[in-house]
Amino acid sequence: MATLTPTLTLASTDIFAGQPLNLSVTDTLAVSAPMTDISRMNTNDNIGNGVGIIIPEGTDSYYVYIKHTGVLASNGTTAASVGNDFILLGDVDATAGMKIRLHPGEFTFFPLNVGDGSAGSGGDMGLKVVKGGADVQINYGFWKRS
Amino acid sequence: MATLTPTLTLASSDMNGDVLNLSVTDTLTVLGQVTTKQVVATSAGVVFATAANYSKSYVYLKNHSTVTAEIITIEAPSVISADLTNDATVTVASTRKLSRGMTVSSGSVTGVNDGQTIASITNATEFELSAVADGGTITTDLTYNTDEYMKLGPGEFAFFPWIATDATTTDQDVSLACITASGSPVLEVRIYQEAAA
Repeated sequence: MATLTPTLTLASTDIFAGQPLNLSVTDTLAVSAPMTDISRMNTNDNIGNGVGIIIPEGTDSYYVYIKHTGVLASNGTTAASVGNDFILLGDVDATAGMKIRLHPGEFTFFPLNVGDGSAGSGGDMGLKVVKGGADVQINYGFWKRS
Repeated sequence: MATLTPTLTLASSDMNGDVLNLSVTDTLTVLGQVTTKQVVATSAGVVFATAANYSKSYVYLKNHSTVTAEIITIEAPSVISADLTNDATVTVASTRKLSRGMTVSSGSVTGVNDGQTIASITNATEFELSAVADGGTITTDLTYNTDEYMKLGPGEFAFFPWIATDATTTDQDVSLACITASGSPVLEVRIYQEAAA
């Protein structure tokens, strides 16, 4: 078992008149294997469980970090289109509830819920990335909730 | 124009052979609604952000509870019109947003009691309830507590760009709701809309 310490700050000097925003939150999370430390993949890569599947369906809960690197998968250097080359995150079925959309440079961190442990009929959870336009590179990491 | 600067750091000294010390930041332009509130999660579920009221937004959530059992699940509720046949089969316009195990509630419709779940998805327009329903036509919409996607334990937080209403991918329009199986944990909600309405 290991400890993961995430810290998020949200800052703005002009979001409210006369009221700057300076939120900081941190947590201490117990994590264990399986875990994947910060890694990189293309949205059309198969890293072991199917194209775009980062976490296979199952009954574990994970802490997830995803960042859209802002470059195309084709060569790793060409800038992705800000408007078109977004990515969607959803469960492994990728048929519903893809409520997270990352444009170039954006990132997310969230605790992924457990799945039902049974494939194919929904409720699967896991995590799949789907491209919006061109395939792009992402950075990712996930750690099992201990 | 307002600028929101989120910064995330992930640190660990005992995970692998080297130290994890990631720091990422971004500069976000937020021109639209800003919502800062606390909601009390219940076992029935509480919708705290309706997709139709927002365009793409950045969402911060935190479970303020300190009680281990008070876990908040973030889900996407759906309301879909449906017709009943004389058994547990329900016909809807599309089962695209549905999945096995979703809880179904229906207000006062006879034969469909709160707490029933979707037993199976038959095809693109039909699914089976977990118990036999009375015949007839449903006059109100069924509500499905769908896609329980995030699980926030006490003190845990999440930050993500939320699609909300999106004209190009309308099937992905999902509201945000919270539900808990234990207690009445408080969820802090902050929503920063990317563009002005």
